[in-house]
Amino acid sequence: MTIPLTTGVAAPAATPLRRIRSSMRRTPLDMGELWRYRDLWLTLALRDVKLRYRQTALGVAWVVLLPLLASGIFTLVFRVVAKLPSDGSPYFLFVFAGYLGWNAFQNTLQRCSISLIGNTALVTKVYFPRIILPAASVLASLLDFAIGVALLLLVQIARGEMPSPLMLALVPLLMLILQVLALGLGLFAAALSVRFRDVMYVLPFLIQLLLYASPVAYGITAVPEAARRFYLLNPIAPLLDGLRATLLGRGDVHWTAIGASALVSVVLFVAGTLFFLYQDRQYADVI
Amino acid sequence: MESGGWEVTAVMPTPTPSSAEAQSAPRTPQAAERTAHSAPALSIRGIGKSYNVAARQSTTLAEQVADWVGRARTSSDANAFWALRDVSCEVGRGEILGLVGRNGAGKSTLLKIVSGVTAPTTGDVDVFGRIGSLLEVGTGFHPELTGRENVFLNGAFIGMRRAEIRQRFDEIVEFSGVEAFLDMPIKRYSSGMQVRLAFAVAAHLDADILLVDEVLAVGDQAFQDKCLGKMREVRQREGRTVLFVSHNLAAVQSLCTRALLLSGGRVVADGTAAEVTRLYAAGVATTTSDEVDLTSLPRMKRSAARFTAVRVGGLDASGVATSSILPGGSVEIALTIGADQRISRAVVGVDVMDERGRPAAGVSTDSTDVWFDVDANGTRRVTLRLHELRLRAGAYTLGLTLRTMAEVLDEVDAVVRFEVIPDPDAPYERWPGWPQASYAPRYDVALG
Repeated sequence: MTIPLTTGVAAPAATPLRRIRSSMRRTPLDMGELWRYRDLWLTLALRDVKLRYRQTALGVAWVVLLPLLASGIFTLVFRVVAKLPSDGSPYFLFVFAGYLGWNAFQNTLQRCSISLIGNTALVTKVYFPRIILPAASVLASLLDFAIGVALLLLVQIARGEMPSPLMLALVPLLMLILQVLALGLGLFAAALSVRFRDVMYVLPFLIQLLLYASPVAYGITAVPEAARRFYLLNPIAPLLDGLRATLLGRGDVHWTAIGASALVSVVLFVAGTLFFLYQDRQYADVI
Repeated sequence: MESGGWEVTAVMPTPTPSSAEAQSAPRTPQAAERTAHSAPALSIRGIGKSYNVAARQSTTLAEQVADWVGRARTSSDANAFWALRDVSCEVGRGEILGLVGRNGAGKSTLLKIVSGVTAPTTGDVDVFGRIGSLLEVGTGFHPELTGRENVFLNGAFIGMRRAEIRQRFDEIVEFSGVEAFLDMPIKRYSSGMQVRLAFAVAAHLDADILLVDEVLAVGDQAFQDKCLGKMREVRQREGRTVLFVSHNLAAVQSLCTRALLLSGGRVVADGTAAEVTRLYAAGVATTTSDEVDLTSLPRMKRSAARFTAVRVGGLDASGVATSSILPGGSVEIALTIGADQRISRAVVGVDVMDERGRPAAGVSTDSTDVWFDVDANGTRRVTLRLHELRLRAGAYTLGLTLRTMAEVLDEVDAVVRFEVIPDPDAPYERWPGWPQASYAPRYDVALG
């Protein structure tokens, strides 16, 4: 059999585009490859956004309805019954502002944790940098947050409480730190859950616990002065508190604690990424 | 071989060749020359993949701890199953390489390693160019998204840019032939429509190396032909490399420039598609004894019981063993099952596959409510007689399944080959291979 010579083929690539080595223990973080796959990230993130409320009667309205409902329940329980203070804002708005940040954190963490085991067919059959799956969780959370913030600001303006632009400029920064933290924890959870499905049961419980250890239903000022130092060890506490303060234009921003949170977030993010990449080689075999 | 004409051929697992033997596997001068002169697309060196086939995979923390404790005592090598061993191969640019072999021979594992889905246990692969995989039906599709959205999703998974997909969108849709349903959620598509769409996306991917795993088994003949045509065209026009896994030997023969035969995770033949498919169809080893030993077949998993031997023979109208099988004749399949642990309420299923790997006929004993037990360390013989097997003349292989209500205990594929010889009394076939189906029912025809 004669083999037709192929024409128009570029000169042989001197170096392989990808090297697969059995001796590698960890999947390298190939930034060039991640860049080439950036559209997959976008498509996956958009898929999450589009799918969430498909075939629901209320559709996108759920994005604001859920935080509103949660805030309503908190108001009932903590304001009407427990009579907690709200640092000068109406309690409902106070909780709503805190809940928006919290929701963005826990949504990313939850979605990350199931991003591998929820896509078993893909993980076992298609190649793409796996880290894209958890990373795609961020966009939907950010979008929800942005919609919630817009609603909150409208209400604030209607109330004649014009938030200061300088303070508002801090919101994206605080959100960034919060997402880095959520993603760092989420990467651990995603990688672990491939081997241990226990994560699926433990994590929601821990998240529930963390909600009460964080300033959502109450402000940091409600925490006894003596205990506040320890309270701020919870890295999301100063972030949620700072978000609320900047959104409502009331209360202090604990800069030192926020700096510490940022540091913890970056460390957890790097550690989570490394852990994820060390486990990467066995996802398809174990999942 | 008996003169009357039907033969039993066992496709034996090759007696594990040393690497030196593996390299001296049949190989045409052209094949050697081709790899030497053309630019490489893939360089595969000494690839091996082992899976841990311990009775249970530890998935909870408690199990993992038990596993760690256990690991100290037992050597993990005892539980290793080598799906691939010592596979080396240079694939030149523009080659269409067919991978053939029985189920469990390691074809899909090889594709998974090359694509990067799973990591090799030993060896290295260098990939020169962008890889695109043609995904199994439904992978990379989300049921709730529309056809249009899924084109983008599926394209993104195989590494296409959004702009690239947008640019070729019309072409993709036209090729798939599902224009009318583009804005319908894909969960309402038939599986055939899904395959069309998936193939259409992948075929328009600008990958240098395209990996195709058995997708063509789905879809109607016309669409399969369209896919084969597209793959051929893609290669000739654009010089892309294709790795093609298929049981459809006719497709491998007509499409591939070269083929590898895998058996038990090793490459046992490397040559032109015609040579290799002939070798595969004929069986790597031929045995003249009727009983075929199945104990040494590589299995994907260890289970309580398995087939240990099989024998196939013809029967005449009065049930006497004959040396030939005619169209419409009866076939006796004698199976021996061995169990390590007691199994209860088991059934066996037999699939008769034609030369192109298509199922032609099949039975399973549960349909007549025949269930049986096998004692621990015991054996059991199950003899099936298939009556009036109206198959056209040609070669057929058997796929055997042993299962209980709860699980599939053993599955072996293409283990025995038998030939149905043309009926000397029947009118000859004017156009061999037409009609295409292997099963030919008795029929009447009335002219009005």
